[in-house]
Amino acid sequence: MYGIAVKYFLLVISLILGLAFSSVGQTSMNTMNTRAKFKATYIVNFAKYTEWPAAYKQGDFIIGVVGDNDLALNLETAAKTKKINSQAMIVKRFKSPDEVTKCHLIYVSGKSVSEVDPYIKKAKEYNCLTVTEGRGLIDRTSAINFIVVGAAMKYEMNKSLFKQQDLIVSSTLENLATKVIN
Amino acid sequence: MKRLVIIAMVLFTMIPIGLMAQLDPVSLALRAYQNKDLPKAKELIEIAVGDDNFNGITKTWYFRGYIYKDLYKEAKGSGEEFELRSTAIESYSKTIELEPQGELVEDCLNILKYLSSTLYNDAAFALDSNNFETAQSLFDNYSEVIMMINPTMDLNQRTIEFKLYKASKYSYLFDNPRPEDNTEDIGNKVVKLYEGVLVLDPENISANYNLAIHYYNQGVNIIENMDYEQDFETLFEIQAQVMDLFGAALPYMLKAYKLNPLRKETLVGLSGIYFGLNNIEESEKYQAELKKLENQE
Repeated sequence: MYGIAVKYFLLVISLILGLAFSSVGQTSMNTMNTRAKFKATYIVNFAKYTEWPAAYKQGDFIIGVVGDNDLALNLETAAKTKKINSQAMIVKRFKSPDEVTKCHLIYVSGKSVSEVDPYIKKAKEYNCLTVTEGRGLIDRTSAINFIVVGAAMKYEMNKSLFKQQDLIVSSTLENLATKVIN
Repeated sequence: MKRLVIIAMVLFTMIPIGLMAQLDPVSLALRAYQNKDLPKAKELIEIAVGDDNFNGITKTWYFRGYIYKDLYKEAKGSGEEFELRSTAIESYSKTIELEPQGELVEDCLNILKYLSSTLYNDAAFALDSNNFETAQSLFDNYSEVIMMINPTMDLNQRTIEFKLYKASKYSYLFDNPRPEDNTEDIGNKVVKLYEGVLVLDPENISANYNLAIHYYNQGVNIIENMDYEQDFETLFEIQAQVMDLFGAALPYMLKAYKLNPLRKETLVGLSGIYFGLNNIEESEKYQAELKKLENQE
């Protein structure tokens, strides 16, 4: 009788011990898109260190985004509180080249020339700073192209494409580029 | 009740007849205990403990253990229970020390096991209330008692559970700091605790995974708090700092993956870390593994 009682007693103890730290959970992973915030911050800086023709210095500062929803969301967040050279930021999302209208800067996602070119061509109808992220796109397609150096996000620049759009690039932006094509 | 009768009988048979006749403090304490007058029983047993005629007798300590154990149970939640339990443990230990091969040893050990379990649980409750020092002290006390009960017992598993739980509580505070909290200090504690677990068990998935997430989230927090108008110089500095943290997270998440390649959270973690490190190819590889796994369900 006493033996059964002891066994029951020890069972209760083990149950108590088992429950004590049963709520040990795992830490939740923050799921934010880390690259999008960096890209958005870069883009705001690209805009700050570029000069547009006089006609573009009035009204809203329009940023077009193709294909990167998280980047567009980040830019929209920035637009709520930030201005580019005293101009209010407006973010427009384009889903096809036909939708592309006048903008100061356009970011087009896509790895190949064939993917991004239709949008870039349309944007070039305006004095638009073109930004992409893909290997080789800096050669003839976009004025600024994001690249990865080591594990860090950097950018390369095609100065001739700035000139082509009547945009003046600041020396700061040029000096910090990983590669500059004149 | 039956147990109480046994205790009483044992006590009366063990106490010298001469002392019984004088209604010694141990006997009187027992009478008070039987009458459920625990304060009186406590008072009398303390007289016995302070008297050289009685403090060398095993039963004095054994009985003192029972009185204090019951006082401890009654005092739960009052703040006095910790001291009472401590005295109960001390008394049972003394009983065993005086007569290591005695008939009371088994009963003492069982009660010590019970009391150690309450220490363990209280350590958890203390952590729930973010009373980290109290929790550590209770856990240390628990470990001491367990080692007394069974010196060869492996405490690693319990230590790991405690450290993991403590780390998770610190981790929560790290993410949700109170005004008085020093987040850097808390962050360092989280890392030390998980590293402590990995010293005991390098293959502990939770510690590997959680440490990876801790480093990763630290990086993400920095990005979240970054201003969109951050100048280039600061932006580069922040990026380097964040990459270091993501880089620190990676080996732990890879280890967690190696230990269990089918764990979804780890695949999400690896995909996120590689994405943060701008290694899109690797990120997509683990994303694809995750989708494959989900499709199999």
